[in-house]
Amino acid sequence: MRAYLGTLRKDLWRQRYLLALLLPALVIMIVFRYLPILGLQIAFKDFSFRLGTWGSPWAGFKQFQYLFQDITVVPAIVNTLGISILKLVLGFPLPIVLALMLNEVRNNQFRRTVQTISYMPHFIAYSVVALMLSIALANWGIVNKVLTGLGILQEPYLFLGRAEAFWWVVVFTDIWKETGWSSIIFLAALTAIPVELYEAATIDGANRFQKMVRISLPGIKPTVVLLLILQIGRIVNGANFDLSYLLRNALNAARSEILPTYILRVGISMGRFSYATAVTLIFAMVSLILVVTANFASRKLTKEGLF
Amino acid sequence: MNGARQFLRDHGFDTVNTILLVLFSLLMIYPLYQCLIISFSSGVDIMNRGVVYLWPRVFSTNSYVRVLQDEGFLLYARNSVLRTVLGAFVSVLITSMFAYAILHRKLRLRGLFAILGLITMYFNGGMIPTFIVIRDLGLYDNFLVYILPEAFNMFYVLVFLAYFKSIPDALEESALVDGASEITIYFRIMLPVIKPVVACIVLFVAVFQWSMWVDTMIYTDSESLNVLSFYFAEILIRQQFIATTVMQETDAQMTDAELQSLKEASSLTMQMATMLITVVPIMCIYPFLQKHFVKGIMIGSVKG
Repeated sequence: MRAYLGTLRKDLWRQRYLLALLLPALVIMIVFRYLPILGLQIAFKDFSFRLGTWGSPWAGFKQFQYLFQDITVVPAIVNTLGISILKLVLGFPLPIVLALMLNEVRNNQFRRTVQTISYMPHFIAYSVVALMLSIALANWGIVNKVLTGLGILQEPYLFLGRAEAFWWVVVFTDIWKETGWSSIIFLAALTAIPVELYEAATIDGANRFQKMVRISLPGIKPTVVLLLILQIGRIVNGANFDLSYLLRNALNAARSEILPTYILRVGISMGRFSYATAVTLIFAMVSLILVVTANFASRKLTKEGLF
Repeated sequence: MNGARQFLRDHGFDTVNTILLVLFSLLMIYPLYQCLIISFSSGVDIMNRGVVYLWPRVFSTNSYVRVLQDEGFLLYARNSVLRTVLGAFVSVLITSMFAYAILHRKLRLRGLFAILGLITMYFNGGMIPTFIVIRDLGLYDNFLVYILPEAFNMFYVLVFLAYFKSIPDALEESALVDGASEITIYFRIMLPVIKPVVACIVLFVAVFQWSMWVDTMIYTDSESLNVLSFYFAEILIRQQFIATTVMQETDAQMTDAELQSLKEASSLTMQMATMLITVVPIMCIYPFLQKHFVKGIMIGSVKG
């Protein structure tokens, strides 16, 4: 043991320059990533700022008991899951379709233009997107203008003032913002498919659509499966804090509160730090179970997994 | 005969594909376009006759002139630029140094450092414990809260690692023989070689820093620390507040006055001008760095 520590010390000294390069990252990591993880203990405590994370008295599972009796958290859970699932179902296939369509474009100039336009929303901050949305969806906004113009709606629909529309609004906004960006990875995967496959299919008399469905799509299947597992694993994080926080109002409150906004409101604004941390912990556990399950299911079904 | 039908079918396919992609592009770009034409409209015209949809009715650059002279805007813009530049610099430096160090197989405790980094990709303490740590450190309402907490990101480390691995060992070994320390090698030899991947990470961090507004809301209090992306959040939060008051107040007259003051305080055209000034710079960097980007995303989506 002592010998081990001795060589360790000598080695560390010999490698002091490498360690110096590594140190800043290590410090930041420990302070801003690991201290908060240790800070999760306040879920089992009665936290007060005066006593601090380590000095506050233990309270056992009190916060969790509150949590399971608290009905105000239920809508937040329902909305988080609802928005996330809707986003996965509607938002996941679109980048694949876009990539397949772009892949079929023969005019390079046109393809690059469409691609660049489709990436643009990704670079816009969510706060800006939320403001744009409040303009597009207003009574006089372009969406109502087009829908009434086409006769789909008789009169303007107040999208942001209706609780039942909220999930769709945030999901479509996210789709608008990220579809182009998410298609990059599928486009990259498509370029890796050997040209011979397409040539052989042409000789066999396959048309463009058939080639797209029978060659391109199976060709990117591993990428699709991989990303699908990742998405399912992150499903609880699918509901977007920024949009729910900025677009919520008294009229849509029933459908706009999600767990992160709930944690912020109850934890920081109302000062119930321990309780909000208990909510975080439950949230993280559900998330973990989902990752593991998604991975397990994928292994069984397709023999492909993350770990 | 068969060939002709095939030709027609493929031609039809191309046409449908093109039309759909054009519609898709319009959908992507129109919201931004409308903001652009509102920002170049006269504020009075918009207020009296409503927003424009295709082209400004009364063209005016007045909103831009007023925004660029506004002290509040200049302060927000300065903070945004500062946090973007500093944030990118610090993140790139510490993550690339970390990646370079753990690349060395002979490094003691290398596995431990790597595992510590990887764990941060899957676990974090969440909003409340992070808030408490930041408060305890005295970073609340401090500019450094924009830079330090997000400075380390394992995903950037993985991108750097992938790139470092492609550099031949001989480059470093010859320098070591010449008696240079790893620190010298890193700054003199490695940094210049990894420029392309640095560009990629700079863009990642810059987009993140430029867009982030939640930390301004949670971790700062004084107006002197506000950033541009927070300005738009502020508008929406104020609107919510007023909408809620309208619902609760029975005294309608007061709320009317409040609404009026809101309208005057920041007219739509000025908001849109600020939006364009905020959005355009970050979009302009992208085409220059595009080719380095795809590689980073590939690594990111597989490992992230």
